[in-house]
This record gives sequence, structure tokens and C-alpha cells, in this order.
Amino acid sequence: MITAVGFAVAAALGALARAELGRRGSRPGRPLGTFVVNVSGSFLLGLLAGTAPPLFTVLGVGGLGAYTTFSSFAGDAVGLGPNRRAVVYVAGSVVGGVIAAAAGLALST
Amino acid sequence: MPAARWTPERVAAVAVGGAAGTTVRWAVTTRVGDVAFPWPVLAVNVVGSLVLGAALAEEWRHPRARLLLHDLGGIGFCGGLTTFSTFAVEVAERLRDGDAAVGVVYAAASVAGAIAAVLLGAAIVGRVRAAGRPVEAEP
Repeated sequence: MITAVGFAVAAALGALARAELGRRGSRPGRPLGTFVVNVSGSFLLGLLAGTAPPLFTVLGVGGLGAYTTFSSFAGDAVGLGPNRRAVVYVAGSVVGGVIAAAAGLALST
Repeated sequence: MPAARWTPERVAAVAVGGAAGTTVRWAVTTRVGDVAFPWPVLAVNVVGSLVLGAALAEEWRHPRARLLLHDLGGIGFCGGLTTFSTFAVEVAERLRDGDAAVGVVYAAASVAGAIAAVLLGAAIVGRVRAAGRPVEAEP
């Protein structure tokens, strides 16, 4: 029960944090806010790997899962392109997110 | 362009939509359990992108339509349903464990599938949203 409530609260806060960073960091033609959210969230989830299941479910699946987004990432890619900026945004997000996740995983073990 | 302001309604819409979408993702991934190819997250990311493409095919100017479709449905529900962090960790784990081919195929399928889904969702509604404005630039 506590886990369920914590999960919902963490998910709501994660979504709000993402929206606030998007509001502050993104401008037409430059979805920087969502990029920062996805790379930082990937790093933090890598760090959390290996924590106890209830904590990982609340903070990892709930909080960081809601904080990061694949749909806005894809929507921004469509909104930018098709052009070089869109390719840079997509490649930068994927490569940056995977490197950040790998760094988090390496630090967590 | 000044950043759009938060209102109590928009905070509630993003929070409730985000919690609902995240719960659906948890239910799907928990029910499926551990799999060799991480298709559950791929599936929620593609489905969420399809819904987002349809919900945001138009820039909703009417406040209630914007609250429901953009804030509750798009940023909240689709943003919570889909996830980039689990995707990135799943790719990084496969690269680390020597399953580079699976990681690359998973990454390529996720990106291509989600972008195609956004376009398909917009096409179903019959519009493509105004180019260039990031999804999360508002509220």
C-alpha cells in the first residue's frame, strides 16, 4: 500500500519535473529541456540499478520512468525534421542517454 | 516567447496523467516479467508515441481541449507511459554484457518505431502539428 502510494506520488512528481524542465529549457526548434531530462534520468536510473525492489519500483520505475519520456522525444524529432537538426537531436539523445546509463551502472556496482 | 505559466489545473492534469500512464507501464512490464528482448518497453514506447502523435496533431488553443489533450493526455499520460531511462539502461546493459547486436537492434527499432508511430498517429487524425515547437515547451 505504501509502495503504491509512493509509486503514484513519485510518478506525478517525475512528470511535473519533466514538464517544468521542458518549459524552462525548450524553445521552438530547440528541445533542450527534454534532452536534459532524458540524459539525466538515464544516468540516475543506472545508479539505482541494484537497489532493493520496492525502492527501485518507486524511484526507478515510477519517478524516473515518468521523469523521462520517449513519446515527447519522438514527437520533438518529428517536429524538428526531417533535417540535420532532427538527426543530431535523435542521435545525441540516444548516444548521450546510453553513455549516461552506462556511467550510472558502472558507478552503482 | 515567454514560457507558458502553470495553473493549478495544469499541475493536476500533468500529475494525474503522469501517474496513470506510469501505472499502466508498470502493469505491462510487471505482467510480462523478464524477457531476452526488451519488447515490453518497446511496445509501450511505440503505443505512447502513437497516442501522442494523435493527441498533439493539432495545437489546441481552446483551454479545455489543451488541458485534456496536451497536458493530461500528452505530457502527462503519454510521458508517463513511455520512458527513456529504462530504454537507455536496457541498451547499456546489453552493450556491457556482450549482446551488442540486440542492443543496437532494440535501439534502432525503438527510435524508428516511435517516430513512425508519431507520424501515424498524426495521420490518423489528419493533421501534422506545427513543426518546431517542442512538445514539452508548455505548460
